[in-house]
Amino acid sequence: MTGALTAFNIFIIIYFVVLNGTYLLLSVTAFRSLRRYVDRLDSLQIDDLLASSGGLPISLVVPAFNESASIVPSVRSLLTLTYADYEIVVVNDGSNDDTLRSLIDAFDLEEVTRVPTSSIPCAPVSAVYHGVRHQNLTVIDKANGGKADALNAGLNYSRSALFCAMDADTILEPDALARVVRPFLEDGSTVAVGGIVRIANGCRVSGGSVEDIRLPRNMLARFQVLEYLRAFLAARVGWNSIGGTLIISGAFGAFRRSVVAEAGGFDPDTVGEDMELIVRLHRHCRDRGTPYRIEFIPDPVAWTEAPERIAELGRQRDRWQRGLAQVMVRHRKMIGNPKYGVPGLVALPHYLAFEAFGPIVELVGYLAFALAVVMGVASFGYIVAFLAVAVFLGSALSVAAVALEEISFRRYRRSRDLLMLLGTALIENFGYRQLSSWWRLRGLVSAARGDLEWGAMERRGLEVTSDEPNPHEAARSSEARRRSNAGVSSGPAEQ
Amino acid sequence: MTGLAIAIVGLAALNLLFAGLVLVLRVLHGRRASRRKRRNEHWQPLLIGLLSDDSDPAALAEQVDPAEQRDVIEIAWNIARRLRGPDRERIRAFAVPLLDVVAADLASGRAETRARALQIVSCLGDTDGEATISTFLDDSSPLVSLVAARALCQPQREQWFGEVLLRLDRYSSWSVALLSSMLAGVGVAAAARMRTYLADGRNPVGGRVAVARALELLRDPEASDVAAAQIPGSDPNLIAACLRLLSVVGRAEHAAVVRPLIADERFFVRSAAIMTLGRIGNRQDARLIFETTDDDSPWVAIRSAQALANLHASDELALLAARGGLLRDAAIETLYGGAA
Repeated sequence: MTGALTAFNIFIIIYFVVLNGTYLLLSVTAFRSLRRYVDRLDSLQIDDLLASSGGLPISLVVPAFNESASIVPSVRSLLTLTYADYEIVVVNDGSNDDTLRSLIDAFDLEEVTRVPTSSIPCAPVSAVYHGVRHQNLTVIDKANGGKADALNAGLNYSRSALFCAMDADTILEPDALARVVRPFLEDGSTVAVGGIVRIANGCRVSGGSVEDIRLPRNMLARFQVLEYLRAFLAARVGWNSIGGTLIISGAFGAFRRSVVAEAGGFDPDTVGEDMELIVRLHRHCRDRGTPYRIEFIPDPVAWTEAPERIAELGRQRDRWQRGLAQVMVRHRKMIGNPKYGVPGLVALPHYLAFEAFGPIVELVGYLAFALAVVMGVASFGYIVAFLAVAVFLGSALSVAAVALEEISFRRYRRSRDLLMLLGTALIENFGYRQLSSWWRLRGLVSAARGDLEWGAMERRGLEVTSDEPNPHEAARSSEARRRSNAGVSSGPAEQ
Repeated sequence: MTGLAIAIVGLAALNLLFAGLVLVLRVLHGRRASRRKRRNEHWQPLLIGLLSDDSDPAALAEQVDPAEQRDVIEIAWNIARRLRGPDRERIRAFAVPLLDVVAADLASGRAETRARALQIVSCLGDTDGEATISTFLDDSSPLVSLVAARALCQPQREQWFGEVLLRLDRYSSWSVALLSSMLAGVGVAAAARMRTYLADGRNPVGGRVAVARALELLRDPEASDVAAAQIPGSDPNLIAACLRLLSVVGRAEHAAVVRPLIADERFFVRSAAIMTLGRIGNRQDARLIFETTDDDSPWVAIRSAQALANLHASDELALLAARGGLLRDAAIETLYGGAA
């Protein structure tokens, strides 16, 4: 018994070292990639590039379920984006509040006949409305079918070669569309591009845009800021540099419409429809031998509100983990298959070993560690090694992510915020990480049960300085509902 | 135990190293930002002043301290790239004596550094620099090559356009939208060369497609005969590009080559042919479109309805609406601007 426990504990330490070591390696790769990327942006002068090319037309597809309190200011904010040629397609996903009525009244919509340009299956569409004053605004009214289903409906009615999937409560920076379109211009084989999602809690929002960037006061939200930095600037930039991008957040991603339609659109039978689509696009293109690129780029920014209550965050993480598990099961043939290149040989095995099964190993590891200490079989060396690996290596990853932010975009201008981020990097290892592993473990159990619940999220609202209504002002409780889009997309899977 | 201790100390040091890096970066960036702000506040008004007074740009350039040369060039570049004509020339006259610091970057091993230097040199350099820019068309980095091509595709650099055309195949990975708008940026002076390029079947199809789209953007009337001549037996993407070109600059006599394509097996060719016929066809073509259109492609249905509207074929449009399904919706969308 003692021997087995010791052997298991050694395995756990090795697992932690490999897990964190992999991410450290990705951080180092990201460090190099980000520096080059920032220089590349400088050398391209994106405004000149788009001005000369005229940009590519793009449709913003915005699923909305019971968003009556926020949808009008959200759409108003989208109408102010600095991009030459875009349309907004809001999909009212069978809301049982005044979402549709408020849109009709606010934007003077009239019912129209519009030919769908693709026929991806989705719940029945009852009407299509078009803006009288805003010619680039279309609203689709359909029966409830969940976020993926709503995106498919929006895709069917969009008219541009590119579309951008987003959440109704996401705030796009004014130049976000221009930036996310750039890779499509630079390479005609680009099929999907993801931008960075940042946390708006604590920031000051005015006129539908984030005016003053600050760290949230809420500790839980602050932990998530760090997580997002780690996931987007370290992991996703790192994965992208080796062609292993598997996730483009549903809160903000641009896609080549024809390829997504060809691949069958978003899958409504998963709660991780964003990751599932990206993995399916890899599979679709490689199965057909079609040259393609899927990119993550860190400069187009979308701001989102993070949950500030433990229960909500737990439900969100549970859902993300279920989504990940569903993708792993659905695309298991790709795992370790050389036919699928880096995604199949490297990225998917990594996600399976460290992201999908990670919480099991981690939590069992913590238990085994505690057991070994209680039974007195843990040597002093082992105890120190375990804590060092769990705490120091973990915090090194977070501090590295803050360094990545500092060499690239430096959004947190206040030195106080920077110091707080560094402090958060240390303390998140005592409790928050373990809690996060617990939620993810719960997600795996839910996945095994075949649970498709999205869970609920209560918006606390962002700090607003203007007199305009705030997209996020209504602290609203959306009831837990089956297969509804709660306005929270899959975020960082990478821990 | 010693190994363990080393590992722990190493990990702690790693944390401290990263944290230290963050703080050092913050301090360095803060210093750099305030230095740039200071220089900007000093030099920007002086440079903008050059645009409105008669002062000598070269004399102003002499006042630039070597330590601030790079920052000043950046400021000048940011102003100059928004200017044209004599105004840009004034800023250029100021910058040319200072460009040596940037020109050195053209030999950098980092593609991003070369590309940025090339942008600055192409904007602020004198005409002798154009030959230098053209050498970067063959740079091993696609980024640098793209920057060089965009720098040369300017109306005042039309003489270099041939060099870019020669290398169109190299740019096949770029989006056609970017490539064609870049080519069109040279203006009508380059249209003749583009027509010749389009007509030459030995040129790569991707390049010819981009050229056709560029001629479409330029609305070059003389390109219509060339476009019509390329259609028979060509690559489908080239056919579609030529059809689009004809839809903008084509004449009634070109309809003959377009008509057979409204029954093409590829939907994007059918769709482009119907759109073109809607612009250059006649009443008989409206009947033809109506009779041929029985399509499950929504794009073709939409184009058919639009073409019938363009040809003022209201009877056929009404009959199309009576067919039901996609065609009905497309007809209503066209007839009533979509109003149900």
